[in-house]
Amino acid sequence: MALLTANSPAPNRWVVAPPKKILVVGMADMLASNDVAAQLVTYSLGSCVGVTVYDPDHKVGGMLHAMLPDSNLNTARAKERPYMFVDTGVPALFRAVMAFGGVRSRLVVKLAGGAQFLDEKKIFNIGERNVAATLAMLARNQMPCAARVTGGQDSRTLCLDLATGEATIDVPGEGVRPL
Amino acid sequence: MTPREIIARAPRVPTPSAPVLRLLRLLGQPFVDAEGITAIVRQDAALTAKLLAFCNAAATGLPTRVASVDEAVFYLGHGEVQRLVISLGLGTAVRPKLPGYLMPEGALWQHTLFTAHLTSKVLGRAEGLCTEPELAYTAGLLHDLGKLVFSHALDQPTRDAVRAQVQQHHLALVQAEHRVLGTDHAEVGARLLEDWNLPEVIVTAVAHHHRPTAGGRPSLAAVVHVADLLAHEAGSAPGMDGLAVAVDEGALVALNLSADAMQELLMDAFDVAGEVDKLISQT
Repeated sequence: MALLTANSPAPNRWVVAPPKKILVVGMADMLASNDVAAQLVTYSLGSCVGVTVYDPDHKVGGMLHAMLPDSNLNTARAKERPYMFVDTGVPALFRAVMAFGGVRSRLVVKLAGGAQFLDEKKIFNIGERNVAATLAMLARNQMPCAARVTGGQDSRTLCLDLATGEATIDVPGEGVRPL
Repeated sequence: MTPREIIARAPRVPTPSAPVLRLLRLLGQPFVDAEGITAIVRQDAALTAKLLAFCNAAATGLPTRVASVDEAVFYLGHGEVQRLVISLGLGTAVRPKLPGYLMPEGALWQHTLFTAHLTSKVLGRAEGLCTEPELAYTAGLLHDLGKLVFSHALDQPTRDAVRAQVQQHHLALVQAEHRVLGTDHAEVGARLLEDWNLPEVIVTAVAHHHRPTAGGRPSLAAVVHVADLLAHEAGSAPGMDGLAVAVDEGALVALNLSADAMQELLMDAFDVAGEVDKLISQT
């Protein structure tokens, strides 16, 4: 690409892409958008799961950051904040993306997170249960999971580009890679 | 290397100001009155200013403007003022990034505050425990101070060796540190707190926060252990270790925490994250 210098003739049209907007999805939160200039990001998923849904034709997508598998644990809490739980958050995510014009048959679903402690007796298996609950939920609705990076001990930052539908994972010390 | 040798290699780890140290030492004493705390805080102008700025921030929601340390104690109670001042006084020391642990700027600060705030939730759900909330809070705040020391003391090849142990051999961070260095961040942190003449209970809790049942009196260390685990689950430790932490089941037994209680605590962690964000944005 030719760089503009002080001696370059002034271009008759400026076509400069602004930097991507970063829309942060917090813990126990969900966000859907049709803004192709934006990226959805959720930072350092531990035992929580991050789910992304994207319609490549319509260029709409959404992301969920759920903490626990089952809303029966505390139904009052689930009413007030459905995104905290996989079983209430995943349907809410799909509904939100479809409300933006996403079409069910085109949706690409990806999954990340659900890390586990080094815990032989598996007392702390919330990460594993979060992943299992999400996969079960998808299977029940005949939605294939296109890609996933789950389990292990990594803390993962998940990102979804709303222009391309490309999802990436960032692990400290390992850098960014596509999901 | 011994913890002492590692501390000697990190002369640039900042020591809290004298008033903050004095407040920390007060924690070990059975009776602390509001006047004692007020007198100490007043000696440090910067700390007083930070405390008042915090009290007067809109989100704190106090009915009137707070103009003095006495008034702050009146509105918040002396326990809360003591906690706040210790947190504010420690903040500058633990805010820089820790390249050795791949933690960005502010990450250790957020993690220590998160763990400290979670201790009160753990105490609330644990059964049959008589630990002062202020002690647990402070132990939570100081539990990872050893990471700060390591980050200053170790050269790049040593850090890489520790990281390789964690990522390739799937060891817990403390085990990896032990294998490479013969000690770990919990022991080093405890040794540093001993140098600062902090109460024995806090030193012990920090020393054993990854192996609470290995120590003598496990209760405080167990509380910090569980709070630390919850913080890691909730993603509040974005460093290289992630969830490379070994769970001490004995701690859960000692605190009578069931699997359901742990899930409830994770919900509490969501509320705590909000409180911590507020505290960070105001300081």
